Amino acid sequence: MNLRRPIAAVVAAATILGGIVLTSTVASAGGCITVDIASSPEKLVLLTELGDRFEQSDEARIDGQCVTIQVQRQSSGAAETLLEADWPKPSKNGPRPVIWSPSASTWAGVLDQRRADAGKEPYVPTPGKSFMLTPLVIAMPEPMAEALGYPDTPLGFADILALAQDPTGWAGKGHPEWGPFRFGKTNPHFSTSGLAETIAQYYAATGKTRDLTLEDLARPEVEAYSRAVESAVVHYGDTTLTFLNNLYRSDRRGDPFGYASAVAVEEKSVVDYNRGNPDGILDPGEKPRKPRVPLVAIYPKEGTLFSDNPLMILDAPWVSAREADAARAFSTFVTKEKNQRRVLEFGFRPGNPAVSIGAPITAANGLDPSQPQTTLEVPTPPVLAGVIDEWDQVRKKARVMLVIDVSGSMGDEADPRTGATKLDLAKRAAVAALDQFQPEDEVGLRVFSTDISEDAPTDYLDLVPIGLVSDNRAELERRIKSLIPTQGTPLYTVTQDSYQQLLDEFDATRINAVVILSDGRNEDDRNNDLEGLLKFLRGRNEGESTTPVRIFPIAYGGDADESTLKRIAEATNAAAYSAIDPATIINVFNAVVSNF
Amino acid sequence: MTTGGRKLLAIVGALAMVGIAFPIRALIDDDGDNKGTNDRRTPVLLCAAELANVCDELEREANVKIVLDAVGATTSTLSTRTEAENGRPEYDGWLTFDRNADIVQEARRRNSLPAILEDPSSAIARTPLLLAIWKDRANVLDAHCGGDITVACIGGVAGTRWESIGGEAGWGDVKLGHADPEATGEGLAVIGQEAAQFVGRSRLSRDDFEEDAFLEWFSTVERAVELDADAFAHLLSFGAARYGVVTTTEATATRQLARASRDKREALRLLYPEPVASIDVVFAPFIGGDSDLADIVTGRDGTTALERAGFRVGTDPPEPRPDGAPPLPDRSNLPDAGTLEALLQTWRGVTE
Repeated sequence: MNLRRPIAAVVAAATILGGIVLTSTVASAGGCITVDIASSPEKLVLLTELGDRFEQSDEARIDGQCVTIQVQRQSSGAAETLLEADWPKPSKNGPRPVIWSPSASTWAGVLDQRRADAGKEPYVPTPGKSFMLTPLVIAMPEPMAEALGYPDTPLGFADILALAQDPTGWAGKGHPEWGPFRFGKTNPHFSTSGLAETIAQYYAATGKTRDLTLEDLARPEVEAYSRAVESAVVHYGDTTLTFLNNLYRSDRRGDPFGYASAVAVEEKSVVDYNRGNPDGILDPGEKPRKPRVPLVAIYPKEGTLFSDNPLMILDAPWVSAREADAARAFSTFVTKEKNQRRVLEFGFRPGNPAVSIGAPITAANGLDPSQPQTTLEVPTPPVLAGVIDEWDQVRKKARVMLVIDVSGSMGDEADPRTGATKLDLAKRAAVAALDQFQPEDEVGLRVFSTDISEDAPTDYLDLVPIGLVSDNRAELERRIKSLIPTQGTPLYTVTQDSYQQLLDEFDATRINAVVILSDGRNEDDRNNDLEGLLKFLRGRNEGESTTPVRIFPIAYGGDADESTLKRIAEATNAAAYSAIDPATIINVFNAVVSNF
Repeated sequence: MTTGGRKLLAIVGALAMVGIAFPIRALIDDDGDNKGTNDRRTPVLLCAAELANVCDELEREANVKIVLDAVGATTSTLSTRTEAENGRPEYDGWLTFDRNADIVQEARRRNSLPAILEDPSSAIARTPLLLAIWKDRANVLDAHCGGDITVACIGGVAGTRWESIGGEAGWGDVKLGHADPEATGEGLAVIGQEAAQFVGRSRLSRDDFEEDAFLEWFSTVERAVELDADAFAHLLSFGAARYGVVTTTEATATRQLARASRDKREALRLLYPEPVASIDVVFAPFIGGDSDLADIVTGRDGTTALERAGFRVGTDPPEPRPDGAPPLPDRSNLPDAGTLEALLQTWRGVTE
C-alpha cells in the first residue's frame, strides 16, 4: 500500500482546514468578512451608502457569513502610488484595499505599467466592472461659455486652450472686464480629471484623436503648446473639489468670473455645483444654495474621456479568496437597477444600460445627455506614464514660501512609540515634500514664533530666501532639519507679511503661493485682528486685475486653529489642509504640494 | 487493561480510522487531481470563458465541475500539449466552438502528436454574427454604402471621420469594436467573416490573405478596431461616443438588449450581413474522459442553458426576436480551421 498519498492528503487537508480557520479569523473581524474599498473622493458618499444598502441585503452573505463594506477616501493617483509600493504602512495610509475604485480604469494601466517597470507582478490583471460613468467636461460660467459661442458653436479643447494662450485674454472676446483667461485643472499625479485633461491637451497639441505615441509627447512643438496652456493655470491640486469650492465662494461673493474661467471636471461635478453643493458633500446642517451664475458643461468636439469608475478586485497577496468572493458580490449588487437609479440621482451616468440617462443630467443643469458623441482613445500604459512624466516638465512652475510654525507647542510629543515631537514629524514631511518640486521651482523657508528674531520683524525669520530649488535644495533640507521649537504663535503677522512679500515679488509666469504650517492659534497681542487680515487678503484676490497669491495653510495637530486657517485659505481662493493627526503629515504635505 | 478491553479499544480505534478515512477519500475524490479511471469524480467541463453564463448554469443545475479558460489560450495549450496523461484526463470535455476544436485536432495531427480529443459533437447550438449600429450612424452608412451596409463597406470607412461620409462633425471617427480574435472564439469568427465577405466566398486559402487589396483593407479595418471582450455592453452603456458599430453574436446582443432600457433598444439597428455566418457551439470529449458528461452537455441541461444564453438550439431566433433575424444557414459560412489559423497569423502581422 502506498501510504504517501493518504498521508499527503491528510496533511493537505489539515493545511487547507488550518488555512480556512486562519483566513476566516483574519477576514472575519466582528464576525463578518470585511471588504475594504479605496475610493476616489467624488463617489465616497455614494459608495458608502451603497455599502450600507448591501450590508442590509441578502446578497451580503458568503457561505452564510455576513459582509461589511468599508470605504476609505483615496484620490486615484495617491492610491496608485500606494499600490505601486505594495500599500505600505496601513496604519498611516489606511487599510489595504480589496477593491480599488479609482475614477477611471486608466489608472490600472498606469499602475501595472509601473509595477512591470519595477519587475513586480500586476495587481489588476483583468479589467474591473465599471458601474457608472461620467465624462470629462470643461465647466465654464454660462456667460463665459456664451461669449465663446455656446451653445450653438461646438467647442473643443483646442478652442479653450487657444484662449488660454492668448495674451489678450477675455478682451479678445469682447470682455476685458473678465481679465485674463484662467484655467483650472488638477494635478495628473493625483487626479483623474487632471490626467484626462492632460491626455486631451496632448491630443489637441498633436491634432490626433488616437494613437498618441511617446514620440508625439517629445516633439518640441507639442511641448511648447503644453507649456503655453499650463501657463494659464490658476494652480493645480489633488482634487477638483478645491476649484469648485473656490469658484462657488467667489460666486457667492458676487465675483463669479474672478477665480477661474474654465475648469476641467467630471460632468457629475457640474450637477453638484449647480445644485449648490460644489463638493458633493453636505455637512450636517448645510443647506445647498444655488450659485448666482451656473456652470455649463462643454463636451469637447474632439472627443473626451470617460471616468468609468471600475470596481477592481485586486490580485494582491493581502486579498483572500473569501474577500474576493465578497467583493464580487458587492460588484454585482451595485449594478442592480435600483442601485443604478441611485447612481443617476448622484449625477453619474448608470453603467447598467437598463437605466436610461435622465434627471439630473439635463439641459436645465447645464448638461447635454446626448453628449459626448465621440471619445478620445485612452493611450497605451507606457504612453500614459509618459504623459504624466512629460507634464512634470511643462507644468507651470511655482514660487513658494514655506512658512513653518516653530512655537513651543511644536515640541510636544506626537508619537509615543518613538518620542518624536510634532516638529520632528513636520520636518520629515517638509524634507520629503521637497522632492515633489521641480528644479525650476522657486522655494524659500521662513519660520515663525514670537520674538524669534532680534531684528525687526521679530516674529519670523527667513532661513532660506526664495530661490531655485536646483540651487537651494540642500540648504532648505539642512535648515529644515535644524529647526527647534521656541516661543508663541504670531500667526496673523507672519501670514500677512509672507503674503505681502509674495505680492511685492509677484511672478506672473509662476504659481505664487505661501504654505503655512501651524499647530496653534494666534498668540500675538500686537496683532490679533483676524477680520482685518481676511479683508486685506480678500481685497487682493477679487476682480479681474488680481495678482493671485494663494495661501495653503496646514492645520497641524489637535490644537491648530483649523477654522481660522480655513478662512485664510478661502480668502485667497486656495485650500486649507488638515493634519490633526500628526502621523498623517507626510501625506498632507504631498497633497499641499500637488497644487504646484 | 484486560485482553477484552484491549480488543474493544482496537475495534473502536479501527472504526475511528475507517470513519476518518471516508472524509479523506471524499476530499481526494473532490479535488480533481486523481487521474484513476475508476474513480467517481464529478465530471469536469473545460469551458470557453465566453460561455461562462452557460457553464455557470450547468454547474448549478447538473453535477458538473466547471473550469473556465479563454478559448484562445485553451486552443493554443491543447494544440501543443506533449505530456501524457495517465488514466482519466484532467478534464472530461470541452465546451467550445467548432473551429477551435478543429484547430486543436488539426494542429496535433500536423505535429504528429497523439489525439487528446475525440471527434467533437455536431453543433449543439448556433448563433449568427451581426452588426449593431446606432440608427443615426446606420442611416449615414446606408447612404454611403448604396443601401446595403456590408462588412466590406464598413471596413472601407473604418477610422475615417464620420463627417467625410456624410455624418456630423461632432461624431468624430468611425469607431468599430469586436472581441479579440487571439483570445476568443467570437473574435476569431468575426475576422473570419470579414475575410470571407471581403473576398466574396467562405472557402478561402492562405493565398487570399497575401493579396495586396485584402491586406490593405484588412489592416485598415483591424487597426481601427478596438478589441473589447465587452464591446456590445460598452456600446450600450457608453453610447455612440465609444462605438458606432460593434460586431458580435446574436446571442450576446439579444441577451443584453432584453435588459436594456427602451430608448437604447430603439436607437440601435441590428444587421445580419449576407451571407449570414454563424458560430457553432460543440462539445469535444477528452479521450478517456467521463462519457456521462456528453449526455449532460449535449442533452437537455446543456441546450436549455444555451437557449437561455440567447443561442439558437433549433432554427428559431431567441426572444425577444430581433428585427430581420434571418434563418440560420446550413453551414457556418466561416473559413475552415486551418484557414482561420492562417488568417489569425495575418491579423497579428497587420495589427502589431
